[in-house]
Amino acid sequence: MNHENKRRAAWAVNGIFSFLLSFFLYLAILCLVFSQTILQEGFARQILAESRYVSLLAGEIRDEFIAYGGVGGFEEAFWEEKFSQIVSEEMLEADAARQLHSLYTGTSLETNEELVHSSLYTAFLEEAVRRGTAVDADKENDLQSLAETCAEVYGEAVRIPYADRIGGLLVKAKTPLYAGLAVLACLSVLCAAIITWLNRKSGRCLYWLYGGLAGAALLSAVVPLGILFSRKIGKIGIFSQAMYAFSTLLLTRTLYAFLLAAGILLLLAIVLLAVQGIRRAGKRPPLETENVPKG
Amino acid sequence: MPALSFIGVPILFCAIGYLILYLSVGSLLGTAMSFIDLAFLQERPQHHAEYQNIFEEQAESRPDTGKLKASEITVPGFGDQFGKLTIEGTQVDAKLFFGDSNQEFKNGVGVYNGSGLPGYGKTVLIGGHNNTFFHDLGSAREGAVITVETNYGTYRYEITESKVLQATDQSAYDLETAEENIVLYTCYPFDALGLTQERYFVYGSYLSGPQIDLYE
Repeated sequence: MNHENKRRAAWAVNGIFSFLLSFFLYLAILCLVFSQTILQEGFARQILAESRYVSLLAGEIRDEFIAYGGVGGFEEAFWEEKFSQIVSEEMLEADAARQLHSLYTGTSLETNEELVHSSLYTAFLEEAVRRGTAVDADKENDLQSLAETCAEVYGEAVRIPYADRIGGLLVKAKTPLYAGLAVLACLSVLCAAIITWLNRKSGRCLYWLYGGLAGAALLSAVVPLGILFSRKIGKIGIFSQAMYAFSTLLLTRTLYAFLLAAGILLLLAIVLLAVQGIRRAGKRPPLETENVPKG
Repeated sequence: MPALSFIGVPILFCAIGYLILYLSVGSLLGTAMSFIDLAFLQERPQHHAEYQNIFEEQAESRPDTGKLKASEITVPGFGDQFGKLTIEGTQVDAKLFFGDSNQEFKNGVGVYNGSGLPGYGKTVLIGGHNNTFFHDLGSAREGAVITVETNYGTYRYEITESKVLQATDQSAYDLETAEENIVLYTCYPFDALGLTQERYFVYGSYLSGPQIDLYE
């Protein structure tokens, strides 16, 4: 094999391992970002707070209570006084946190629906008495019916649909993701080690490592950037304003996490390039003298 | 090293990486994306109380006789205001929406989306709240005319009957009938406290209005 063919072979082998480094690093980032964002209850709680989920949910529930209550003779003025006593933000926060916990543990947790039901019935009864309405058995049934309907509205509003079933999947996904992350990290280190060994004499290892890191950065950034620029997330068909705010912020922050990872990789790649440049500038003479055959 | 290789190599790796992913999981991803796409709309969802009003926009063309081609009609979407309903001899004068959720009842009266629209030769089932737009429904008398103006035509129905039935009464209306008619309903009693089990129904037979040719 002559010199030119050897050089090409070396480039090909280095190129393959550099590509494998970028691919394994990218897959590792996929595992890392998903395991640290969507699969983390703490991350979701943070998003819950930042998206103002509880106050938006309170507004939605209040609107529904006003609509049903109006039909049942309890106008908006009644709810202005009573709503925050019956459905406090603390209660909503507790229920939202419980539902989130249910989502991340796969357990089924109750809401405060029964408490809301009894509070509503008591409030309706007191109002009926205050208005001088005779409360017989039929009237009690009607008030119970209204309290039950409003309590169901509350329960459906705070409950995350299929939380216990989705939660089961989230719990099961964690272990394979962590295992995958470990395997891919090892493979990436192996590729980097092979590239370093292959280039121990030529001094080009930093160039190939740069290719691997920059390739991984691009792989990690392209799809998230595409999704963000397409504004697809904003078109998600969730008609509850509270759940919409939560979901869009969760998805957006997850994409930002990918971009952050891509940014870090790119920075490392640029540092390697700079180091490569400095080393080359400090090296002794040129390629022509190195290529003169000895002897 | 050619300077372009510092940009070209990462781009090449990115392209090859996505190609490998596409070839290995592309078909699975395609199926998943089709399902995921169902969860997305063409536009951002509207979360405030605004609704599309297609009734006012087409104020000029509202015939009250003849036939219309289905292809020429703008069919309302869920939540759209597409008309107005009035009842002779009462104070009922409400915006007409397609859909019967609390959102529609907040702004007017709504057509149950499992029933027909005026002109389609079926039962048109319209509900509303008894404390707002259908508060005076009890004043509707036999022989009075219900006028339903829509974005595509004006329809009139003659009231034939009014009655109080249980909300769960399956005989209250027939959505399968092949004869156009209108049924209005609301909670009863009108000033009741609490959610009652009774509903007040007003029935009307078709008098006039353009019929829709579904096959044109």
